[in-house]
Amino acid sequence: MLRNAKIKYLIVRTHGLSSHLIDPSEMRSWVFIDDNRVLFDKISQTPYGGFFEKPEDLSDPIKIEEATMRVNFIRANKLISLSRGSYIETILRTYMSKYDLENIRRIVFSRLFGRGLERVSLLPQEGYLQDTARLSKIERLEDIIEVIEDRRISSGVASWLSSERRDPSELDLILTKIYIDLLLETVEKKGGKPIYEIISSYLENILLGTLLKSKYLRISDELVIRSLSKIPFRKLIDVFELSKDLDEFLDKLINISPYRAISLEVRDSLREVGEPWVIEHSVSKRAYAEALRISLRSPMSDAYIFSYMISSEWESQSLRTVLFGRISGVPRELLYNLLTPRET
Amino acid sequence: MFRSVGRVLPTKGFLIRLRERLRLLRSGVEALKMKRDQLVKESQSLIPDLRRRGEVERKLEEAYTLLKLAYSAAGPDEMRKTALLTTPLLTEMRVRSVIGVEVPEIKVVGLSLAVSPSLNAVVIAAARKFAEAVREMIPLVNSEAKFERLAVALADTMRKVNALEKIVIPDHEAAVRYIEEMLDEESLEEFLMVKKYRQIKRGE
Repeated sequence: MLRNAKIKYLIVRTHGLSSHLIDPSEMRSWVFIDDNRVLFDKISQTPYGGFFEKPEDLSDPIKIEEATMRVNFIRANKLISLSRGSYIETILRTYMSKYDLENIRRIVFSRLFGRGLERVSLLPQEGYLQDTARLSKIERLEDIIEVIEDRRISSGVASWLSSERRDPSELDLILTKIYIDLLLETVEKKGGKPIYEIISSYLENILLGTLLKSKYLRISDELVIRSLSKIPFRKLIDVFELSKDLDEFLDKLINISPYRAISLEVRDSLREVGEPWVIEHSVSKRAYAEALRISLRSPMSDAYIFSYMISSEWESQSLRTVLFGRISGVPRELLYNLLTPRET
Repeated sequence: MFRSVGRVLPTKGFLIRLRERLRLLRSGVEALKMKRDQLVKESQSLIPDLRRRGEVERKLEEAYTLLKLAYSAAGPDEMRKTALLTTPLLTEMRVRSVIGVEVPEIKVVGLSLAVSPSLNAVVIAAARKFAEAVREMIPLVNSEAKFERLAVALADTMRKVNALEKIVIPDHEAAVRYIEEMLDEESLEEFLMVKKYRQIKRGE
């Protein structure tokens, strides 16, 4: 009973926190603001405001990275502290462990290609399931296995380290598979409930992004299928297996209604520029739209908490796109379209 | 008077040496003319390669556009991560001699990105476009460098040919004529002196 009350309080609290999220359509309109002062005034009223002291800071890449990363971590940490001891804490920590995995990737890549750790910028968080500080102190690549706290991740990395080729793609696929498995396990008892649906939809998007990029990068199908074996979302894997290249994969996905919008967006970028450069934005946009759809169906369910986290991530990514786009002089219409959901 | 010849001695020995030098100069001019023609031919053969500059510039422009997009869509942090997986641009340069002109030849020996699905697609796209543009730019760089050096050598050769044809050889020819005239005068004077001496001796 008390536990239920805690979760209910958390959901209500998340609704309160959601009111601090920036409306996506307003964020999109920021790409058309020329004056730094006007934009600074608008950002000052948001949670990102505290990271920018003056209008000139909006042109400082370090401050932009810092603000967009930290706000996201602050929000997640707040929810974790409110959900302490509940199943939501476990799901939240596992959900956020993707940033731990990202730091592991960065450390491994830097060691693998002979770069010193001083040249690697790790994500500014202590670690949700891992200890980032300990990870960052390893001397040799092999030492990472001792430092990784999750047995499944350490054995995955160990098997990759023992392979002859030490292909970065393989490590990526292994870590993606582990992340999907870990997060699905946290909600497996909630089958059919909105929280299962939202997490499952989120992971499906991660898998979709991975498969699209695997085709784009011409990573061998055999390696992808082997690394992602026994993963759910069979439909996606089957279509992937039947397609010989990215074009064919996109053509097949266009005929499957849930993937139509994203496939069209990626295919258009591939045709216009020759490179499918919009994959990340399209996948994040889809994840955000799906999360919103599921949470709106049952706004008082625990799924709402994850909808908030996914929305927060999309918001950070959008703000980064707006600010970095201004710095690099990308045409505003292009930025606007990048942040706008595509209609089919 | 004969600035390119130096000090002129109206002696038979000097005349022989001067004629030898003139013969050498004339054959030198011929050789230089052959070199000039060859340089022109070599330079002309590079023109189709040089015309590809526009195409390479367009590719670079595309790459920069994508780089800007990558910066805005992924951010510098993600770009730094991708940089971890790249092999820096490694080139090998050797110097080749084309008709005595040293031209550099650059070859790309290492430029790759170890791909991985966790990298941002837009950053990979920008990196690929850049790699493609650099690969196409290197042959153009080689052709431009070769053309520049050939052009310098051509100008140098033409200057030498002109100097030899217009100044040095005419100077030498004039010097030869001058010495020949001097020697002719000398021999005529000597002949007259001998003739006069014989007349005096015969008591005429």
